[in-house]
Amino acid sequence: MKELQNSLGAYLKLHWKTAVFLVVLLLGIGLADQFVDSYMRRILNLCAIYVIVSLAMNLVNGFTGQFSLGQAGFMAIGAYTVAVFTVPIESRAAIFYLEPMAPFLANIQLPFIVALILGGLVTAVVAFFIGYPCLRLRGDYLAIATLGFSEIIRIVFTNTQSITNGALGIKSIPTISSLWWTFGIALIIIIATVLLINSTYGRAFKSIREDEIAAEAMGVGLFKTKMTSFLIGAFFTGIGGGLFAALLGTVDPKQFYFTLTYNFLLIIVLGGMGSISGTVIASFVVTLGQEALRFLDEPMAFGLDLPIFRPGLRMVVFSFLLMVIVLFYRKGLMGTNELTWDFMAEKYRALKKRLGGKKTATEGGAKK
Amino acid sequence: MSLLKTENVIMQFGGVVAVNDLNIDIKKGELAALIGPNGAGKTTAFNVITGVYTPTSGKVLITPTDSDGNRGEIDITGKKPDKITGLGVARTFQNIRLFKELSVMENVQVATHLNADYSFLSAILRAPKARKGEKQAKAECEFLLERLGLIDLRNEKASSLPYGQQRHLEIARALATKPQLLLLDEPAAGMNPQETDELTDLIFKLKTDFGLTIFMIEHHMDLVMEISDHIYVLDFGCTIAKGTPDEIQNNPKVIEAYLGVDADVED
Repeated sequence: MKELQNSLGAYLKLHWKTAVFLVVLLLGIGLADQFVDSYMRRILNLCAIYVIVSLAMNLVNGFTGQFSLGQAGFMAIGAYTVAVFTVPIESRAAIFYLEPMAPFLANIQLPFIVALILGGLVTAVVAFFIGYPCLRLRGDYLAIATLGFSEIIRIVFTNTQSITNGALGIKSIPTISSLWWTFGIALIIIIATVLLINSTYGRAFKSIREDEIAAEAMGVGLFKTKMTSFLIGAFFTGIGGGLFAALLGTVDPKQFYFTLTYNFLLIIVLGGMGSISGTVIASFVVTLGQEALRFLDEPMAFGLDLPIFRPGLRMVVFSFLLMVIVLFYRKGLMGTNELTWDFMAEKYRALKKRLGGKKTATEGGAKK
Repeated sequence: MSLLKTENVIMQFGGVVAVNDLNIDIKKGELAALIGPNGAGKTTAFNVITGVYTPTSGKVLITPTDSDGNRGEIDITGKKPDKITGLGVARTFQNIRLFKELSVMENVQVATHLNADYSFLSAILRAPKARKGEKQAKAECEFLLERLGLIDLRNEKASSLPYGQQRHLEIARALATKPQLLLLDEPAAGMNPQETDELTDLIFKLKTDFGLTIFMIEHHMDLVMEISDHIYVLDFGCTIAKGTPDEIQNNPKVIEAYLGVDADVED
């Protein structure tokens, strides 16, 4: 016991900033959970889910260097698992009115957390069968196969009437509204990913991204390592999908078009392929940004009837802003860097130096 | 006692026979060299030994000593490179293949992955076993970096190192896999005479200190003649000579391959 106390003490001494940050973060979530309105709550929940799924995608695409585009399909599996297993049994007859639910499922109802983890596991199992043939090949085969898979899943779910209720979707899923579910799980997954990336497995992932031939020559089993990364990514994505279903309270196949995948691709490219903190930041930037620009879609913005403020302008402006960001940050906001305390201190010093230099040259330079 | 043996290895790419009937026998503890003009098939021979290519025909056999001190012949023909590395055969690359975006330390640490005996779950949870393993691997890597004079650069990006040190890092990385047989593909390429001298000393010291058997491809003849026990000469995929440095230097076929047919001229 004493030993544990000592090691904990040593850990806190070394990472006190992180510990303080975590405490502040948890307090922040707690406060937000008490005081934000339902609109903001919905957006924040969505941010957290996007963090989970993007992080999973970055693990495979950014860290392991395997181009996978199956996010929407994997999310669909997680979402439908949660939907099928958590919808109250008494309301199932009303939902499945075209064709009753398959008898082997009709009377099973699981607690949310069990269904959520099951969703992750089912996703990982499906990912195994996609990865098994595809991860042996080099190049873009995985991208094509996962993209195709994602569409197949959507079409399968549209047609398995007695399990997924087809195109009608499943409604009345018990919803979660507390921020703790999404942010709690997002936090756990962020920490797990950080620990994974900084372990020997994380380095093996990165070595494959850098140079497959050298990685293999150094004893890193390509197939096994790629598969590990792919399955962990799929598991997290399934969890993200499950939370998504529970947030919206309804799932239907149209939510899982492959355009959903591009949202996550956008986030990881914007945040930096191979940066955990970049992914987290970009998830918030993209999700909040899309909401913040919503006024552009309204014809009566600023009380004037401006001719260009029409539905659709939001995405034009949003896409333009993305192009600008990508032009100035070639490798995404963070590149492969992480937002560590050291990194921030370094940036701060660099900024101070630059400002200090400017100050002597021109007087007004200190402002920025 | 031989450590590496190839039996009638042929490697064909379509109509091109890159390696034709290669028979190599390297004894444990010796330093052998593979030389030959450009395009003779030297790197292809290395790629066949390390599993990058599966030979068209023939066999590659190694006889490593396992952790209990037992030795047994293992057929590694057509095995995956990572499996072969796991059996104690490590290599460096002719056109340096470092993990460019990773730090010097991480480059070496990657090579300890094959000796990690804990699952990714215990790695995430930082279980005692994983902690111990990571700590031990880190210490080994630091020792190797120290040995190759890279310890002060451990946090630099591998791509930011000067050329010579990148070559050193490749050797450090190969050593981190705990090899018994080390294959060096032109370790002195692009080095000036002084650097080559230093490298010669280094290779010789590493060989004794780590109890290695070394097989290397090299073009610097002073280096090869100085430290090799045996030399194999390839030309157009065929082994045209093998023997001690003295025998090779006076072999008319070798002189012909290097200098052309009417080789009366002194080197």
